[in-house]
Amino acid sequence: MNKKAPEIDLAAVVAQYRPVISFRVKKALGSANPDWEDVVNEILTQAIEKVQGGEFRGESSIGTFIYTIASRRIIDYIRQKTRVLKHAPEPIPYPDPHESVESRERAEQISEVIRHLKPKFQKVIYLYYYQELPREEVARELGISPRRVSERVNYALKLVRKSLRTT
Amino acid sequence: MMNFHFSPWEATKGLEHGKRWKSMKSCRFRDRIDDYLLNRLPEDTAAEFEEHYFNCPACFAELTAREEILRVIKTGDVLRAAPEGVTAAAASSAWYRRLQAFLTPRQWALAGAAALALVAIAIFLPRGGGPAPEFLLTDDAVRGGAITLVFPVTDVRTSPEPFKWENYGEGIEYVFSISNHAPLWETMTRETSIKLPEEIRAKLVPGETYIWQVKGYKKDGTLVATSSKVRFKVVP
Repeated sequence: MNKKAPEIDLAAVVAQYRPVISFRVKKALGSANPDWEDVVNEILTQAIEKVQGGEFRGESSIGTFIYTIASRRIIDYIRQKTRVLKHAPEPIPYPDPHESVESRERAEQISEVIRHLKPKFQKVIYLYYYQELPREEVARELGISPRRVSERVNYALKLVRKSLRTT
Repeated sequence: MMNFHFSPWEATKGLEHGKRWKSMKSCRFRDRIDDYLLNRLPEDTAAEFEEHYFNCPACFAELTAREEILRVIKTGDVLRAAPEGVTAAAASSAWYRRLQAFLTPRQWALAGAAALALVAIAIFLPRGGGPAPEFLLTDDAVRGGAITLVFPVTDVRTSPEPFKWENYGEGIEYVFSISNHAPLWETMTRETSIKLPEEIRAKLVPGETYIWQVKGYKKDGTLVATSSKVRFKVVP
């Protein structure tokens, strides 16, 4: 017996997955790449077409289905970049002004919280995130256990998020 | 029109070994978030995590929240100087560790010899030569490593041939780009050097400043390293 295709709320899929796909694409191509939004739109269009064409049969989750489309499109994009661009120069990227103002404000807030963290939290954040030392090395440097390193990192992150929520 | 009975996160029912996604604290993928953001996961583990966050809203929310904080830490001024009490050794050990992993003892010996040779050249080279090379820091917030450009890093007398950079590791695909006020040419290669096509070389005007850069990608398309943007001129 043929498996019946699941019923899908496409509008909800697009709303839910646009940020996820955007994150994946920006991670892969670099957020300064002016093509990233086009790539995201192409992935969403492909996903919608495939769902409407009955290619999604619910054998995997819709997330995995979209992830596969996204991964293939990213690889294709990288390969396409082998083409000579002399006839089609890339546009100069310019950020969305609203997004920039908002993200700048949030960045400033995050900086403020980190600046006012107690030294023991600042040190752990500096070594673990800024210097990118493994947890064990951070622990050795600070003379604490690796578990305590994780606790301090998580506590510092919690404080940052709390401040973002309250403003 | 499609029916409206299936919300996307509902789709995660039946996944994750037959369980619905759980709260963030109990998700077994939680511990991978930092390593993923810092490009420390092996390729297959990173791919597994990527598929997971397409299915797990809790992990994705945590991932984006940490990414935002990490971006501020890495690109802002807030932790540019080591906090009081952090030893200089710890502050520099990240670089040392990366270098150590990268070089064999024999390569270390060669690097030492090369450093001595450079010192000797610096001492005996006549002063007042060409202008000092100019470097631009990249705008990209890449939390991977840096690709070292080898040639050209200063002004040259003829069109550079070929452009060279250091190998960043096995299986890395490099995107080479050259521009002046607008992009001139971009291509991908697995080699660590590249020759400009004749028609592009012909466009390099003596006296004009050009910028070149190399970015390294893993096979799955993830950006893992980038070089500085280096300026050079073809001396008229």
